[in-house]
Amino acid sequence: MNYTKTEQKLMDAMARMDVIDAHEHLTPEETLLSKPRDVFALVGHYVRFDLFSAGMDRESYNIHGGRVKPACKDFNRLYDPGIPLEERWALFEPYWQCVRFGSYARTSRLAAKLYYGVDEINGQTYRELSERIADESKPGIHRRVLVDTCRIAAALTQFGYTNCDRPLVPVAPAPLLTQVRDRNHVEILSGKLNTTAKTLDDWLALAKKQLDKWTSEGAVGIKISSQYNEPPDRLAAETAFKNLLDGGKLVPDSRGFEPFENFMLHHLIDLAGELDLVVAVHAGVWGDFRNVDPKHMLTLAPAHPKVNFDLYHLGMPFVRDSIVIGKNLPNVFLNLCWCHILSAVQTCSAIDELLDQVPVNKVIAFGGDEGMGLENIVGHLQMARENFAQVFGARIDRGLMSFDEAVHILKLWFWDNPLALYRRLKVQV
Amino acid sequence: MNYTETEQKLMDAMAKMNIIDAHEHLGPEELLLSKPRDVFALVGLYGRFDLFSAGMDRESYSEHGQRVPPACRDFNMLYDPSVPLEKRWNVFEPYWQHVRFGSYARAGRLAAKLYYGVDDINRQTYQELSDRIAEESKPGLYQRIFVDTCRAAAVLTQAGGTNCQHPLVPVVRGRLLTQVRNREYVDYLSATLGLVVNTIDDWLHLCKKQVEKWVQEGAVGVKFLAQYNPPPDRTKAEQAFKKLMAGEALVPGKADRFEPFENYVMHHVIDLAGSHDLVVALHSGIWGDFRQTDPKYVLTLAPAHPQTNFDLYHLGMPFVRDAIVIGKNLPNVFLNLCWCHIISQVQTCSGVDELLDQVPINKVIAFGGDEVMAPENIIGHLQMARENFAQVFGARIDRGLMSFDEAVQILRLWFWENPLQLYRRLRV
Repeated sequence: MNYTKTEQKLMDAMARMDVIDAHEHLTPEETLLSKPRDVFALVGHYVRFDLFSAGMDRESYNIHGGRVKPACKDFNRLYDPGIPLEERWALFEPYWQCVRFGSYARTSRLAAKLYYGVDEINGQTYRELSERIADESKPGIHRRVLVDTCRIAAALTQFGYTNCDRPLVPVAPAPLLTQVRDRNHVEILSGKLNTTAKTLDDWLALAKKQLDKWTSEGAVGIKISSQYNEPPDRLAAETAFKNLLDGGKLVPDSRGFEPFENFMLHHLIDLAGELDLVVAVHAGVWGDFRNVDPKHMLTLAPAHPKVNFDLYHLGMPFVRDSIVIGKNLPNVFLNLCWCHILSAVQTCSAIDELLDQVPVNKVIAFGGDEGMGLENIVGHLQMARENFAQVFGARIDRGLMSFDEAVHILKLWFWDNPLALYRRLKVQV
Repeated sequence: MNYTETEQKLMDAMAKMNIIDAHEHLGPEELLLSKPRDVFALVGLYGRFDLFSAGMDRESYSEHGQRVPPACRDFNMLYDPSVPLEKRWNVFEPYWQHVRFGSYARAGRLAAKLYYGVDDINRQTYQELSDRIAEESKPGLYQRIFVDTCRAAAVLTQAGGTNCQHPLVPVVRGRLLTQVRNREYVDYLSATLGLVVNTIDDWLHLCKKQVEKWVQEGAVGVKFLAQYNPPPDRTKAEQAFKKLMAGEALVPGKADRFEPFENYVMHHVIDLAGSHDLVVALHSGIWGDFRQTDPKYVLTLAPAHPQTNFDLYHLGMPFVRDAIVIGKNLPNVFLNLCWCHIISQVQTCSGVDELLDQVPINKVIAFGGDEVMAPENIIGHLQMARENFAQVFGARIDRGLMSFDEAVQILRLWFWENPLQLYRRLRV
């Protein structure tokens, strides 16, 4: 991408900034390296959804709008090392032509260019790129990508567990304690925690124990989704829990509402606040995205005034709603994780609008939200910097702020704000 | 409009492209030419809504937020040839001054300029423009406008029936089978098809016969609205149908427009469409209480019919970002930019820029004029579409985000290949 003079100065300034990566799904390095990696490592996590949208594995698209993984035959073949790379590329290329101009794909293309020195992902380069990825896929890759290349001092990650090494720092999965659908779940979790759960109070005690455990293991937050929520109703929750222990199933309604889950959600949020854990909130994009509308925060956040919420993704596509929520509610912070690669254009307009509306201490600049394509974080971070450079650059050139003011704000967003919000997070640079 | 160098190159490239016009409401040409035509032909279909909004015929604005056409006295007068043109212009001009800067008006103004060689629509030009329009309104108008001027090889039109000639290709109204409100309608349609309908299964059989007839007559798609759509409930639909056959009317809910028989048959016809390779075109956004035509209704409708392809219109304006995520996530939903370009050029440019970030390029259709009474406006509309694409792609090229050749390749997909790929029954 070509930059104006001011944009280039901002890009240079950001390249010198240390970063808190405020949202990932990275697993421990040994899990990442347990399978062979090639060019398709760069297109697995998000690009696949564009591939599916473009027509790949159409027959696996079912009436629930979801995918059953084993049915995604072509996509799964991309990751079968028993099939020659050339054959897999031939399967992939027609769909790649349909998606390569999108923001998801650009992340991968930038990763290839900036981290592997391969200018483009195409029929001429996939073999060489695969070789370089395979060569690089050895212990220390987390450090080389995150710390040495991206200057990331900590990467808050959600992968269901807490067993990760620096720079990864865990954020724990709240649904483990709230989305309890059958008795089996209760028995497995109480067994793991060496406790019993025969009443709702038992489950509340178990939740406390689990949260204490996560905290002692280094978790700095818990993750929920922005979902339909009502004031907690203990009676309804007790009835539901009894039903569950009697062998019944707890099934949410079309809004995603289930009374036991709703009660536990409120309880867990309060517990998180007491333990200085941030409640990270997914909002937008997936599935019937009305069910993960950021506007659900309008009732959830004020019900827990002592707890801080880290609202993700600007609730895309409900960007303007999220901005007003971040503007109005003192305990809701806006985390631009994933936004930059969902749509760079939409993110730029949002940054510009939130600069108009939201205090500068309420915004977090970056989270790669990546799983298997670790190197994509390099491309993602580049796109984030470009987005900030465009918006701040235009304001500087218009005389609306000085260069130094822009750099000050960006430093807050990349570094100070996530550290101030995630109070349990300690870093060394 | 002034263009950058790159924009001009893109405009030139697009001017050489053949197109599929993927949505119109044009009837047969002889119908259009059956009445005298003058300057007001260029402001009738959409311009009137801005005129009403600006104050024309305010007294006809009812508590339902709609207009009863006979009550729109001033507007109707514009189309009364017995009233002298000058008098009609005098009625029109004060409102025109309020709306002429809008996107709707620009399509008419560009039509005047590009097709009739009249630089603007104003007091100095209306007489001359009217003369030129009257002179041009003779057989062969469609050919001259669509084929010779716009390079449209096919024009998908929804005019209620299937009796149209090249380049028009019919898309039929699904609601003829679903919005059944009284027994008289059942009797009428079954008689038309030579069938007897007593039960809901008879009606489903009738639907099949009608869909087959449409296909035989050249239809390539069925049109519905994005609307509230719970899973089909046969018991409730049967109850409703019995009520209807007993002489009761079926009245949809006021807030959500939901009616169980309609919902049931809609799901059924969508499946029928899929099995006949017909696309389900979906209006969404803009009109009336636009919450009732929210594109987000497609989030449940499209996954319930995974074998059917949906052509989602208008980016669901103003719910543009919602529509884009829907087109991004659902493999059977395609985004058709018909009408968008003249609703708001600015909103369409930002929509196109954002969808380039998000949606696979084989999922987008560039253009549909959505016009009824003024085929000439399609020339202005197409020019605005090209300008919008030139601005968005031009900026990306100048930023080094794509090459000129890549932009042209994507635009050719959007104007030509994607509509042909989606509408599999369409032959050009």
